[in-house]
Amino acid sequence: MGGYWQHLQAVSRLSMTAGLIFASSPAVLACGYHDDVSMARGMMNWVYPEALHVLGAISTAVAERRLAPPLSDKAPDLFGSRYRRTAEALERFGEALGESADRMPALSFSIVLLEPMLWTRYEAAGGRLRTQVHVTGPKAGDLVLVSGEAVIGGIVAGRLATGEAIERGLIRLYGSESQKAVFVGAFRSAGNARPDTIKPAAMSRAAQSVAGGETAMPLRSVPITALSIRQSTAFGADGTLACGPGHH
Amino acid sequence: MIRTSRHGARLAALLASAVALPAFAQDTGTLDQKRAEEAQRRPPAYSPYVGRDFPTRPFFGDTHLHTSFSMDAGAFGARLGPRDAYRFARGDEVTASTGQPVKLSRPLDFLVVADHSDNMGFFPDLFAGKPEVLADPTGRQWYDMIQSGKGADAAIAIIVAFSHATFPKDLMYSPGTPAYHSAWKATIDAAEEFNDPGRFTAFIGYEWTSNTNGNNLHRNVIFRDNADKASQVEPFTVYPPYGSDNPVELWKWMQAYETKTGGNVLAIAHNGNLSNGLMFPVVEASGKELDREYAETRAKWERLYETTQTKGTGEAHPFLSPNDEFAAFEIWDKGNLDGSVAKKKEMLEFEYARSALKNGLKLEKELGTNPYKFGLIGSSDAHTGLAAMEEDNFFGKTVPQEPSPRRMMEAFVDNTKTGVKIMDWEVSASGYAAVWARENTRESLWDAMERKETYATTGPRMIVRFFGGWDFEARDAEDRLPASIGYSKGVPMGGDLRAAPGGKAPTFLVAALRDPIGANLDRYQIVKGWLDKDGNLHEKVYDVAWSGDRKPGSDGKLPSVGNTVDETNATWTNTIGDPELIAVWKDPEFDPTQPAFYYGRVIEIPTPRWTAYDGQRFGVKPLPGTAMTVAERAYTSPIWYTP
Repeated sequence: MGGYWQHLQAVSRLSMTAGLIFASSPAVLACGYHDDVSMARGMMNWVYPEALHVLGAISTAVAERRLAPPLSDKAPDLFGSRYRRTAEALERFGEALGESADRMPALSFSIVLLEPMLWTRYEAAGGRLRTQVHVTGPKAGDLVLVSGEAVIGGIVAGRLATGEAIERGLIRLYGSESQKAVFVGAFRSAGNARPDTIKPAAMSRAAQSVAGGETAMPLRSVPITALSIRQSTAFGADGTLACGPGHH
Repeated sequence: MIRTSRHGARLAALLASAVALPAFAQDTGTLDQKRAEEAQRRPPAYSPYVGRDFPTRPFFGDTHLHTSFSMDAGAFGARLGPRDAYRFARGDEVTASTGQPVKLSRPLDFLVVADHSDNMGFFPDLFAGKPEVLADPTGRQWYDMIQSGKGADAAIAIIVAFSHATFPKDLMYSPGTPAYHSAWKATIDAAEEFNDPGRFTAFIGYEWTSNTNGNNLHRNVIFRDNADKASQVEPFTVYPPYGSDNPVELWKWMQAYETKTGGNVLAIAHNGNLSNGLMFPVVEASGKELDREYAETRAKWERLYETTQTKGTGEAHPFLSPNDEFAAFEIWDKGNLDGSVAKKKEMLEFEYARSALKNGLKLEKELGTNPYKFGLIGSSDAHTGLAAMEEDNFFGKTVPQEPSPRRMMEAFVDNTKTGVKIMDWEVSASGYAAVWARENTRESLWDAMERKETYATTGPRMIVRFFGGWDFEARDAEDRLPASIGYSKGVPMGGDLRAAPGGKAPTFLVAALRDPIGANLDRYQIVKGWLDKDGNLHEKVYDVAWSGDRKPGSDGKLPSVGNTVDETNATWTNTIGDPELIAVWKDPEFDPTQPAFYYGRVIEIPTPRWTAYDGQRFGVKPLPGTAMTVAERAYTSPIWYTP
């Protein structure tokens, strides 16, 4: 998540205050798949106080081998497959939330993944969550979730419960206390394994890879479920969400 | 060469004299010849330390740390302000901007919070809803958006305003405005609150950030004074109409400050390696031919140079010093600061400390004054509020580079137009400033900086002595109080030798102790530069003390000390190297007609680099080419010989 140069450019532009027009629209600046968004990410720490503490929590979880580390493969994503996998994972995250809730609350919310600064909105309507990946930001009044790729990866892979991610600081919530309570009450079990849904032996090799099982311990001792098989195309081999430039 | 290497038990004795003293050392004043003679006339006391009157320990600190008050640091997400920075530096545990707890292995002795003078304090004020910000309609709008849950929209609006140069003029933090005055006052107040004479020194300071065309000409300005004087001015900035990007104008500002207040300031330049040949000019500077006035003014205000920091080490470059096997250390030589112009080899001579020291000898002959007669320090330039520069405790240069499993894999600078790309793993966990002062106060530390009695370290806190004189002899290296001999028979680092006595060559008493919790030492070298009678510059590196029983080869090179680093597990052992090196060395090639400089370079045995610790702790595989070991080092200020 470097981009010092881009920071420097932005700050320099601010300081110079004249003449330099940067060909970026707000929508583009809102997403890291097209341009560096380190500044947008940095400002999250001001707009949503301590939002970047999620990064520290992820680092801790990786150091504890509870989340898989990112791959060091820096090959360019020429055909946007990494973005598609990310988008699919966010769709699956919405589904996982819906499946976990006994009764779907009338709560719309937005989530931002800090690494790419990708915003996604989940709108509650008709007892379901409608997912809009890659929006410019939350709607006014939305509950805002701040998290990271590996966390969503862990949840949709069935290795991490949403409630536990919140407790560990891997997801931070910003909104009213009642919004937070509704979210936690309805979705805290999302991502928890359901042993009855699939037998471990039925897991594909890809699904195990998605879960990052070879290197990462689950936050709780929970077996991987059918959910993880469905997500297998949404992840890199390390179990983290993958993304890259030029995806759409 | 006269060489003595010592081990084990003797280390404790020397450490005791060098470290275990209270921060308020009893030594005050200067041991000049007159006072030394007076001391000799007194009846001898049982205590060998009676009447001692010189610095007895180095104080370690950072003269270059940014907090959330710096525009760029704030934009990166830094939330730690000056008070957090001082708290951390004095040894408290704090929470980093990414939520990770962090604490130094040992407290630092001093800190300069050196936030960028342009737009100082903007981000904290905006998000705190300071009246000065809310008075502007746009500032009010942004603040209200944040408060009403539209923070993300506000962030986008701010970024767009930056990018499209539509940032409200009234929100610009420039000298003379109430907002800027408030930010500067907050900076001063924090320093005053944490300055604790005798225990911890919090300097008042700032960074002047000249960066035209991406060429780094930055200087940190450090006040000797307290708030009563520092608050009479506001920092000098770069952007017009209040500031200038010309260092000469900064020096004028410094003179004006001293004239107005009777106080004292000094400036420390850094990152010549990113100036693309502009940091140490020899022909012209800022469009004006170098003259005696330039040389005198620069020498007056710029007594030190920050030779190592996170954005590379600038002591020497292998292209300029092909015979120096240790020159290629944490080098950043791909372009200027923003990567907008790629590096050309012909720029290097005017970027690195050693070549500047050499060119200074030549300029002195031409102009009558050496503009580059500077001492050496290291510091961090971290933009996190955290002066955490130990390899196993490295919290990065900016918030995005705080510890994470990703930080080794990202690009720090990536200019696709020029091809200049620097990876985050190339960011260096360096360095600190070591200052031989008599006590831990603003005045004493600043005075030591002014007289250049300082050295740079790349992170470890080794203790390094370097004395030059005409009469050091082998037995001086046998003494367990080398500093007493050093000060009485010679000058310390930063000093001058003049008028060689007939037939004599300069001698040097050198001593180094390893960091008590660090790695053993490989060798102590003396780097010499000189100007011959034909006007040609030369340099040579001498090994003067080393560990073990190694013998120089036929090529004069000392064999490698070895390497015990286990990169995978990020461990090493002190089974090689020595904890202490001490020697007396005499220049075998001295010509009394030729001006010269000498400085010490102390090199540790190899240890794991921060990348190795990251690899081990996060279980990540480094990118190909990632440096995983480091030979940490210290550079002393030179001692100059002038015929």
